[in-house]
Amino acid sequence: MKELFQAEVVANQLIGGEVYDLYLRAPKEVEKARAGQFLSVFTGNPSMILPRPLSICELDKIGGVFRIVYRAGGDGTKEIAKAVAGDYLGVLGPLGTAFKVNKAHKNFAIVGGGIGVPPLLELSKRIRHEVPGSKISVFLGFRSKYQVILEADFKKYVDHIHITTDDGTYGTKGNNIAVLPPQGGFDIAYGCGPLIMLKFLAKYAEDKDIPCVVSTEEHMACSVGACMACVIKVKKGNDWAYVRVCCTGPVFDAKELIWE
Amino acid sequence: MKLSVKIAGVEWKNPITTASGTVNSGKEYSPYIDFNLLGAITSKGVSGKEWKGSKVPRVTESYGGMISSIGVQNLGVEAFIRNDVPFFRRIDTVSIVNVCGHDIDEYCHVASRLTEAGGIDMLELNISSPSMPGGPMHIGHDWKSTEEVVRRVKAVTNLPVIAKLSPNAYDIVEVAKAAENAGADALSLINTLSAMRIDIERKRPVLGNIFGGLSGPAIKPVAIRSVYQVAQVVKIPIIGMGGIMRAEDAIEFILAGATAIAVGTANFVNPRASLDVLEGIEAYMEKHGVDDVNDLVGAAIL
Repeated sequence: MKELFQAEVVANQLIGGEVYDLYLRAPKEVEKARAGQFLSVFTGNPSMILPRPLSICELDKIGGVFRIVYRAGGDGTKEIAKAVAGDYLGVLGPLGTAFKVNKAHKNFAIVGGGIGVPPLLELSKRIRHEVPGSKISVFLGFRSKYQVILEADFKKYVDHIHITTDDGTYGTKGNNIAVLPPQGGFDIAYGCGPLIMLKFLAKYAEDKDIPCVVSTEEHMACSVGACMACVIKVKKGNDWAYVRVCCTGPVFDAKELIWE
Repeated sequence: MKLSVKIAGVEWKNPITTASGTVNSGKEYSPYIDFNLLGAITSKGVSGKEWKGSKVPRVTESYGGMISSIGVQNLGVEAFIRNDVPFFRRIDTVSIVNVCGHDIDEYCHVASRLTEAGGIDMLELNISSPSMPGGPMHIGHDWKSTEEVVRRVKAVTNLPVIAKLSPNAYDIVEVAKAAENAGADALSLINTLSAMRIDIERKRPVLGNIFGGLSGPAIKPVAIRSVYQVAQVVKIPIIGMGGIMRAEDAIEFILAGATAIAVGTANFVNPRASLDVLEGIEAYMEKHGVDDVNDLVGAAIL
């Protein structure tokens, strides 16, 4: 049986503008987890009853530790940010669908925006380890220099990294979609970030006729598929339907989604 | 120790069920909890045809609770009979299906199709959801329309009918009496409270549907009050619900007059919550020397 479990906080430190780097020890669960999945983490404050869905940034299967990089933007994540080493947090997971990696692909475009960047690190690592001869290009967009995260971590696994900031205080000024090579050359594109970024990435992939895989988010309650809260619009024949981000996603083929 | 209760002639092995809409039809939580151990399981809302549901965001948190507007997203009664009833049947407990409609004809259609299809033990009429796209369901706010929907559904089914009522009604006691007079076999008290939140940065309502239903521990005192008032004026059994997080909450409901209770939002906090409640009730009965849980029903009514 699956269960709600208590995970020990190994570390929980501020690494950028409102962004925290949380390490949670849960050896049994790390073993089962894959890149793209998420954990639902409880705040420990009983006035906040729901768990917060946080994407998995890295899996340390040897150490039995999840790395979660999250933004403490709302009340719940601010509460999680108060946890210190030795504390325990209630966790459900790993949950949701994972990124699929096809070994026939060689040239990978990985595109992340803001707090959508973390789950792409484990993806990059997985591609590096599993796809011999892969070439990985990463395009990360942030608002400002102060928000730039995980650059050094990505450098360990990828061939090329391009950072943009909206205000030009770091890397190229502008957004990360604008710096994707106009000539293409990729076999597949992966993305995680704001919907508007994903929408333009999907359009780029469509123009270049390559598959595009995106990871999405939505407000959740149960996070296991029962409550139908976290839905996203997908195509269904000539019609459309809402499907659950927590279990049908969060990873989708961009072609399935309806962009609004 | 006797934990079994009788609701409308149907024997439950213990007084615990799940609140509608919180465990879907059981599949998603089955890896986390053995539903066979509960007295009953109550499904999500089922309508006549497919309802696509509310715009996102569908859920937001508030102090000690959550506000949700799912809009009863479901594929309709025929898909429910095909996809969900077989799973429901395999669970060795009383099965309750929550019935929804835009109008009374739709309630009757869903009730009669579920009755024909078989495999279901009880029906719960959702006439009080505050979180519908296009505005809350008003049927359950008014004693006249409540009487009509119950009477007409009773005419098309031989299954026991539970009316789920809302404290958003002007007078829940009048509505409860009307449901009983129309032939309701039991009452579920309470549905969520109509509520909303505003995002002060965006200066806009948080929920896509603007309004939603407040659930969770924040609403428990309102629910206890409703059960306490209604239990004194009706003879049919009451299934109490609204913010039950632990056994102590459930016992309050039973002492206020509920014969059974439903665990709802607490499932999201701990998928095993309903079984923890059951174990806690047993421990309470042992501590207080109570042999039969039915002896506690309404024991606090003055």
